[in-house]
Amino acid sequence: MNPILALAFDDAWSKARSTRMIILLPLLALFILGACWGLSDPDATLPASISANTPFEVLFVASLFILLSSTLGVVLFGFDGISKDRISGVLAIQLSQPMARRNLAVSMLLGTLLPVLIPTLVLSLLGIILIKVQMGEWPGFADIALFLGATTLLLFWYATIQMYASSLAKDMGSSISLGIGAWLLFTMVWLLVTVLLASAFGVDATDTSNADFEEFSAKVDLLSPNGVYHLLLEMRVGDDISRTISPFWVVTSAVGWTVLPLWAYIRRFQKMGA
Amino acid sequence: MPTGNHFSLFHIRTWPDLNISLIPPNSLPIPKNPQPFSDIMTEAHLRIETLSFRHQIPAPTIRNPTKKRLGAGLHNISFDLPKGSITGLVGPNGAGKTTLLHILSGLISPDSGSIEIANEKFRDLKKQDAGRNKIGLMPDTVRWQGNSTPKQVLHRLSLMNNSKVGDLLELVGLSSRADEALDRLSTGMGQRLSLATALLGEPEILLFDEPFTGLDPVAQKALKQLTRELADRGTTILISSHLLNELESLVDRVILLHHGQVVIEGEIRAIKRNLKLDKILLLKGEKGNPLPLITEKVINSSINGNWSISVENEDGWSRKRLTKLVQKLSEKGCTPYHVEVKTTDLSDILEATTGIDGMDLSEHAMVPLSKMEVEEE
Repeated sequence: MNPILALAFDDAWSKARSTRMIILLPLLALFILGACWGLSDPDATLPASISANTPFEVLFVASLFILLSSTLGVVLFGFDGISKDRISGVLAIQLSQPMARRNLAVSMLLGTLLPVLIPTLVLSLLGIILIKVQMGEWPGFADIALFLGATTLLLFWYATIQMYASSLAKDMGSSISLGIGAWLLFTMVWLLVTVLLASAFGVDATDTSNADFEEFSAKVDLLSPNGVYHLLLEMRVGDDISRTISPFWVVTSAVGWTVLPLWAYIRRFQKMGA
Repeated sequence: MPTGNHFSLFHIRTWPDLNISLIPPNSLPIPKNPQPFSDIMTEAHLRIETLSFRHQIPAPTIRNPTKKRLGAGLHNISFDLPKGSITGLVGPNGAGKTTLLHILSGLISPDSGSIEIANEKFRDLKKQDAGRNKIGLMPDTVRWQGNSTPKQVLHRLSLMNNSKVGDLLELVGLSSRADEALDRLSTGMGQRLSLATALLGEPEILLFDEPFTGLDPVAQKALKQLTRELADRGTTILISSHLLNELESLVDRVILLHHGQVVIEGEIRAIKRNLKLDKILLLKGEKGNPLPLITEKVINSSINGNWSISVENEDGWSRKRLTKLVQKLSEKGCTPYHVEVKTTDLSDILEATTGIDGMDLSEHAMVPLSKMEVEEE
């Protein structure tokens, strides 16, 4: 097997048997399976603004739960992905091995991504089966591919951001602060950032449902991995949900989020001392 | 390093506290055409040429938040290590020992200079994987933690090293703890694991940073024995340590670093002879004044009822010479009660060359400006 993949799987397997996974796995199952089951229940009453009438719309709304749980999982595994080894001195041993730093960086990234990505994808497929059981129909193949692909990208982006942040941290405190801070910024306080920016640019932010604000928020969302994830999914949702932003910008932003943090992370890793 | 055949002269040796084999028979590879030891010792295996490095320390200002200033570092370090030699890297705190080891193991890039390993020149081992393949690093006190086991750690590193773990855990006396969680390893066990990681891939050059830290006396002895046997097999070993007594009984040569410069290098005996560290006699006594009776050079004296003097003799202090002096002093009414030919160790060499006395690590200590030349014996 390719040494990068062999190392990544070895790392992922080690993380899969960790205490963190024991905490994360039930959380993922509860969030993803619970969301798919509950949202696809014909008798369930959803808040007025949320509609989940088709299998893909159920997946779309369920993606909110992935944003909360799976990304948190990546934070759990990634916040000390490099800093822990650096603080303990193990990183010095790893970096002195005759493996190209770029390859080592990629394997460590994949080692952080895989233990969250694999259960998330498996649970999502199980969730799709639950949707079929509840609604009697499958989401389209393209819908499933987009959902799983976008979820993979989202977790990849988070893993890259976490590993980059971890490479900056030189003690456990800053490691936790950077890791949780990045997650909180995109998951919890991004709406606040959007509102602040809207106010600064003269867009009416007193009513977040007005068209001007929605258009502005879609643009600001291009700067957030969560936002791009939702914009990608919105491309397959009906016109009533879709926001007025060109798919070109969404795809460009997705490519940017894939390439730029990865480039920054590898560059940082190559320059890093022990 | 060639593999295949094995030495037969290594016997089972036991690590007494664990009662397990330290060097299993036929476990270590033998070169296909082994060189005589005398030839091996004269061949430069690791050659460092004018290696320089300065740490960059963040010094942000309002105008330039990313501004950095140059900190301590290494200045034009040059030395050769013969193949199969054990060299001690000594020096006070902040001398640059760990920085040098980090450059040699490819953790940081030097600003200038080159590293030559077995006639192959490398500019920057951080970027040259082939060079790192020849070097094994045992860093200073690694805190192994987590639920992984030593066996898993070595397996993981072997994937990076493209090598096989083999019986390394047995070699370092950890086979009985191979499947134990890292969290349960003692500091000494952790050191043994660090040693095993350094030996992975059978490197030609071994770099040990404070290897004796945390090891009990038995384990220290075993480590020294293992180090000597690896060196006898042609592995070149550079050991940085503060435990000077431990180092002195192990190394063939020392390199003394101070303020990022090589102050002195060579065989310990040659250095001691050159620094006149084996020629001092300490005499203590009562009654009389011994000073007029002593024809040798008096370095230090204190006469105040009881007396104490340090005397230097270029030719050293033989038993006959000592007896004669003591008899002379006794006959003239001075009563010596303490006679000691001062034995010196590496700390004396440190003190003699750097000017650092005891715990004085202030900036006022003498800064060496040039390397002292020492004749090889």
